[in-house]
Amino acid sequence: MSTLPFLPGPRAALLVVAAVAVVAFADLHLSAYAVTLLSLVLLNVALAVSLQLTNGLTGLFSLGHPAFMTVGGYVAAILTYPVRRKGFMMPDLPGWLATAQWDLIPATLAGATVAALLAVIVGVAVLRLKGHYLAVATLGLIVIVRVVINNLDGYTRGGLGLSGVPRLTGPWEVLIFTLLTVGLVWRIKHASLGRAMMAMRENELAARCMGIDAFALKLLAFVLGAFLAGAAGALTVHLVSVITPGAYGIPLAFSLVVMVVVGGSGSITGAALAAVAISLLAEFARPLEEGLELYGLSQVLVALGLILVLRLRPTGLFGSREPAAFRPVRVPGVGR
Amino acid sequence: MIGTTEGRTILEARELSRRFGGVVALQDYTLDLREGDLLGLIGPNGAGKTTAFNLLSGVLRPSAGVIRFAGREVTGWPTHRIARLGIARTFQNVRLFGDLSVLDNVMAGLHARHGAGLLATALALPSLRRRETRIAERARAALEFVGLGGLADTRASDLAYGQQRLVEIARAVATEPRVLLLDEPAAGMNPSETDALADLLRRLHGELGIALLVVEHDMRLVMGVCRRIQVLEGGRLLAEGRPEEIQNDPAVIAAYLGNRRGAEHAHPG
Repeated sequence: MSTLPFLPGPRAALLVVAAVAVVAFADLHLSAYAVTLLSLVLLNVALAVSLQLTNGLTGLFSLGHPAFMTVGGYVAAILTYPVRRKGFMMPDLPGWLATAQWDLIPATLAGATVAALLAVIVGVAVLRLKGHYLAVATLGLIVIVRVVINNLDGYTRGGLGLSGVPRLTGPWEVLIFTLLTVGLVWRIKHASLGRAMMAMRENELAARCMGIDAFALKLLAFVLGAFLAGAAGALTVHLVSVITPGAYGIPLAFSLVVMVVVGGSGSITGAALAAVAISLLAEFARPLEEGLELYGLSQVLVALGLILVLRLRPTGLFGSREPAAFRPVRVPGVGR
Repeated sequence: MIGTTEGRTILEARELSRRFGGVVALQDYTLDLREGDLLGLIGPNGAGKTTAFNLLSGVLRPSAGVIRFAGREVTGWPTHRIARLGIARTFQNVRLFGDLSVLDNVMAGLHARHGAGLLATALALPSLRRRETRIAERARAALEFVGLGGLADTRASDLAYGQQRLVEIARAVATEPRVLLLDEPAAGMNPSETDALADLLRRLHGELGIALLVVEHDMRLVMGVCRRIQVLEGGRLLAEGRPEEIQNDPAVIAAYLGNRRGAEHAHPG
């Protein structure tokens, strides 16, 4: 008996097992540097796949992920920060925050929720408008978030950034988050909600004429993407133990959009593979950049790669689809 | 009671007008679409037929006038709420979800009524399985109804134009509408496809009991299928009546069927 479409097939389950094995191996045998690198790659997968929900499936053009990561990261870091150091690092915190020291999971959920609320405000303001208002608004949001955090220095230490954030995130937390994110987006894509989102991407007027509430669905996709980005930001901060106002900015927004476009707008597999490839390229180009004194080489390579893909395969590596091996099987009993 | 016009009025328009800047696209349009109706809407290009459709389906807001559905005033309601009441439509220029399969196109049409919410989807609750199965079954039934059961897995944009029109009809039918607005369903179809379409319209009306309002230029189709016909010209309602009355209406002949081909239709035999 085959599975329902929203459940990935047995080969996708194999992929999950493989991911667990890789993380287990890295955790046991590889250096701390390699484990952190692996975690960052996995976080990029989660970020790209969550942006795929907003941009790829629903057809919005959000650049806001870095802003939501920053917000999620700062909120979570303030919540987990050691109480004994909060007094001089963040003198303006109200009493209940100054004495709070949360665990990673509640702090991550809080960071993600604040990011999602911010997305509600932005979304309500611009998602009813037609055209590229969302791209402009989210680009602005990146700048606004940075300026606000710079100026709220009694809470955030401003431009100095927050260092000494407890290292609460390990590769397993990251792996679980990434699998949850990919699983969630996969289910949405292969269920009615995802079909409605893709319908809207393909032809909004026709979708509305079939009873689909375009605004509500766009808001859902945007806010859910922001929630996941906020959570990713929170996890990242507790992995690298530091966050600065400009840590996640426009270059990251560009990278994430490239991952979505290169992978294929709407393809979860494509975005995940592109995220792995681009993250590793950036990492391995670093010694080359230093050796040749060609700083920014990896970004140039990524941009060239984007141009190549757009020229040779404008729909991305996978179009809107998943490779045949992972493609879900149709509902049994009702098929031909 | 197939073919009668004695049912209750389901979709009603009173003095419906729409202006675009200084141009009056539609002026004082009146409609009484009853349950079981099969009404044709004809008129030369620019007569206001598509504007009437856009007003009735909530795509455009009227500049003046009232729209009622089953006695309830729905003027100015957002498009998706009008659709959820049970008004489905197709488009003059086919608007499919091109990158999706034929089946997914129709399944997407069932989202508003049967789709699972975020929580059920995220947690794969039993209700998700139940709803997905129901959506797939109904979508396949709708495709069988229009005769496209064998093309369910084809990408919609890979279909021939006439077949794309049928997918649009299947998608609209799947929403279980009480009223279906068809905007030039025969455009781009060859004569045998048009004959099959005429048959399909009769079955939509007879077997499913959907009230149909059909904009069409193919006079053979309109005169052969519709029980009543409205004629629009220059944004105004010129005449309304049974096909034979319309064919013999001097004002209609002068304004719209006044060419040689039209004259043949107007004076059959």
